[in-house]
Amino acid sequence: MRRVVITGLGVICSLGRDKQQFWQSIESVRSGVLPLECARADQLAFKNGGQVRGFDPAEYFESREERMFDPFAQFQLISADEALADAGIEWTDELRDRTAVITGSSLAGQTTEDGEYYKLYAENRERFHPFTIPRCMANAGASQISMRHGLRGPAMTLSTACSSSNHALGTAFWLIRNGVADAAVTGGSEALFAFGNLKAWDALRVVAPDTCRPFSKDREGMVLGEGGATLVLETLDAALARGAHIYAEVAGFGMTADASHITKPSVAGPARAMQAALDDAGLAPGDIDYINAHGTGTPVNDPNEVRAIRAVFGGDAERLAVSSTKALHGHTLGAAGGIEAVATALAIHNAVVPPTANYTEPDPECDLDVVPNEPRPCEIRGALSNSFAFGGLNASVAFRRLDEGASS
Amino acid sequence: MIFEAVVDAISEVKEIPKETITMDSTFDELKVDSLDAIEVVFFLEDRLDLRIPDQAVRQMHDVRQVVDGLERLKRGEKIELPETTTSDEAATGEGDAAEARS
Repeated sequence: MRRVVITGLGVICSLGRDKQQFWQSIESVRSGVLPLECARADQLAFKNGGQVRGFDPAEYFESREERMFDPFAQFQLISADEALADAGIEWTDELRDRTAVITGSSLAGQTTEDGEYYKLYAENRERFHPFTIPRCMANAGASQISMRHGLRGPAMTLSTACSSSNHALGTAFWLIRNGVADAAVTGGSEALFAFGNLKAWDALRVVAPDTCRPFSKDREGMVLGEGGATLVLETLDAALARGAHIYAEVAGFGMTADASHITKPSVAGPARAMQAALDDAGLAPGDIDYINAHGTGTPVNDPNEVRAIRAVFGGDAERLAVSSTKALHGHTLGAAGGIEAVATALAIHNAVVPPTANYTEPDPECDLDVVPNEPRPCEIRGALSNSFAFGGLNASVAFRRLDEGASS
Repeated sequence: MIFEAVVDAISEVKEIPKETITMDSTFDELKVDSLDAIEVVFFLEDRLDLRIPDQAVRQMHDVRQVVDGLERLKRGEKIELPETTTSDEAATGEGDAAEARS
């Protein structure tokens, strides 16, 4: 069976504009969650968010590109440019034909929609900008990566709320492992700081008034974040043959549906997703040292996820390091799996477990080692990254450290 | 006035100097593709407060055609469309001015 490895990483979010800044923020526990900078923020029940501060698209794009790209596509493209430059693949026509682009996004071009609808309904403007449709379509990120970098293999976008980019990453991994593609550019992006969307989240009453405290007893909910992440995947053989730098192996993917409640997670659904990822990877609970948890910081998710982890890992659960980086970058919805995959790959690569920031008080219902507040040096042999979406759609990706002298 | 507005719009959309755009410039010469043309028309409609019919947009392939068409619209005249243009032909272009070119 073909093995699949990560040879390029790119990320932009509230923790930084590239993977170095991103990782530095994680290691120094410097949160990107700050007071909201957006129109009418005073009309929201929550006050903070993980925004890409001072973002000026003109630093990255020509004016015409900027008119064509919603911020969610911009974040996807910026991270893809970084990841592809990082991977340094020498492209041939044949490889371009066999390289997939699989992205995830939950809200897609909602920032554009929000702005254009405001003009239509509130300002009584008669005309939409003609790029509104191509800006808003969920596959804009995938299509623009494909066009910009000449990648002509399977390309699509998956939209499964907060699991979107884990579903994208898992699908890209399977496409390569099954021989449908030889390389893939995958990840996800989200731009969500449009007032209409923020009011909708406000109404659901799941956003914390101040900050996100995963697994902490005083947690009050999630905090929203924006950004994009991209991973370049290729076969282990191809990576070894060209002497590429390998961050980690993508070892397995599992996905399930709760088939129960639209917002309340089950224990069985997430547990079966983690078990499926382990089975797909051929890994046992004893092979996993770290879980990058879904860890939204809502009262319901965190103890539920802990129960699911215990159900899968049994006695090994006590040995695991489990953390949620969402405390630092916020919940980036459809980008979460991508950003957290970058965090997990870098954790394996740098042999450091990211902390769960903002932790103040142990919760007996979340009594795993949640790596409170301080990063921890740790050789991570295997890891899982979890995403559990509203709608009960669960996706878990398994990663493995590639040992020296690895061969297929 | 209308010529200047057209030059401004094309210059803005294509990010090219205004001096490179003349009454005789064709969209091909200016590398104005179907999507560019639609954005040019969007700016012009917004600024001149006009509604240019979709089929007329598909028939515009150079600066002169755009200026003439807009002047007629400003005078309250209809833009005459060539008899050969059928709605079927227009439909095959999926709103794509370049595809609809004869």
